[in-house]
Amino acid sequence: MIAQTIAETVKQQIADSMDIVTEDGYLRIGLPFMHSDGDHYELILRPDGKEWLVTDDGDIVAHAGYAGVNLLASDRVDRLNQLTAFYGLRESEGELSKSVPEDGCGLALMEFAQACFDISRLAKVPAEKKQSKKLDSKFHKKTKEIIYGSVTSDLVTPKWHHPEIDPVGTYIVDFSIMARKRQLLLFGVGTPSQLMRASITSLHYRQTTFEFDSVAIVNDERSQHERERAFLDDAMTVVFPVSDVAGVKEYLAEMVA
Amino acid sequence: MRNILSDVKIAELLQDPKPLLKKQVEKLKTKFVAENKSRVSKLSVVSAGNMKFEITARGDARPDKAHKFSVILGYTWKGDRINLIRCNGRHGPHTNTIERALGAGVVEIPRDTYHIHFATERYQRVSEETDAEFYAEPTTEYDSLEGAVEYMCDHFGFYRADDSYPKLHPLFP
Repeated sequence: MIAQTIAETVKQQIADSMDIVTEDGYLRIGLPFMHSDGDHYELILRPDGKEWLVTDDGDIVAHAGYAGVNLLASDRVDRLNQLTAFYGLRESEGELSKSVPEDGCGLALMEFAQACFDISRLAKVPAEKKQSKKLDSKFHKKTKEIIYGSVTSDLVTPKWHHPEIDPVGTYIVDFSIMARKRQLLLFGVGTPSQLMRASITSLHYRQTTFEFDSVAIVNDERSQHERERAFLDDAMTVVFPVSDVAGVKEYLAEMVA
Repeated sequence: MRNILSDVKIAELLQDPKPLLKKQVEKLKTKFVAENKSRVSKLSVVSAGNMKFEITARGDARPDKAHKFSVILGYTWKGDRINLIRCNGRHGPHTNTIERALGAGVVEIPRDTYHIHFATERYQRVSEETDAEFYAEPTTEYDSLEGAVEYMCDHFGFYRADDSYPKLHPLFP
């Protein structure tokens, strides 16, 4: 049996590997983990109302810039959004952040560190192809036409997030529709990253007391991996291919009637 | 497999004479484009050996974060971009992991120390993921983005060319 004192020593050593300094009104936390250039990840922890804000102060996106990669460029931002949604982070002009309660700071720092690794790796991946962007734009135009052609515009709110459950807008819904029984959350799914984002957002709201139906309109011109598609099917109330215009219209008409 | 740039080739590239006009250096220090929270300026340079290099000056646009910057000498090698030199501002600590394993040379650079990253063959050979310019050394040669631009433009083969240089060398951008 390993002595308790050794366990305590290891715990202390792990704690000591975090290089924490106090600045004017915030903490700088140097992690033992490194970027791909040997610079250590450093996170900032500062008061945020009743909670604490963990932020990378824009370092991850700046480091990608060293390699000539803009993670917020149109051919990369979908992947960034996918990961920020997955880790529940906010992104503002390249700064990644997350609000946490005081008793959750330690765990939040570790989770943030993992997000840092994954997001940093995006700089090493080739950008998405332009042709796909053109296809996505066409797809989203079509999705929008179907929705506004089926429901009066006063019932539709684009880029919606729940004002109480998600006040800062981490989990964005493409279109919210005020239906007769329950609110409808509608997602346009044109790319694998949008598929993940839609699934994560729907599953996030399902963990709360908020009652809704979720609908995905998927781009059937694009093949989707079986596992990812199964994830979407599980997360959504109903999934329509974009080619099934009549089916979507009939469903929406019935829900708002 | 990544294309490895040897130490000999890196040294050749750094020594290759690179002409710069005074106005180009001024432009690099003053004409920035906004990119996220950063401000960025770039300059392409063709060397005497007809190699194409790029200097990128990138600083945090927030006034209270002026110490966060980088000035990069980039070179494209077989389609891969490699940062030969990166003059960094102040941020968190840095560790040279190979030197730490060997117990020799510069191992740790404390937080808030201006430092310069150098491309090396040994770090390229570690893995596909490690940046060529992983190795870094502390410096006291500059303490601002503008100072780092000046430092870059006074070293690594750069020299201030006469104003007549573009006429004498039509390839000059």
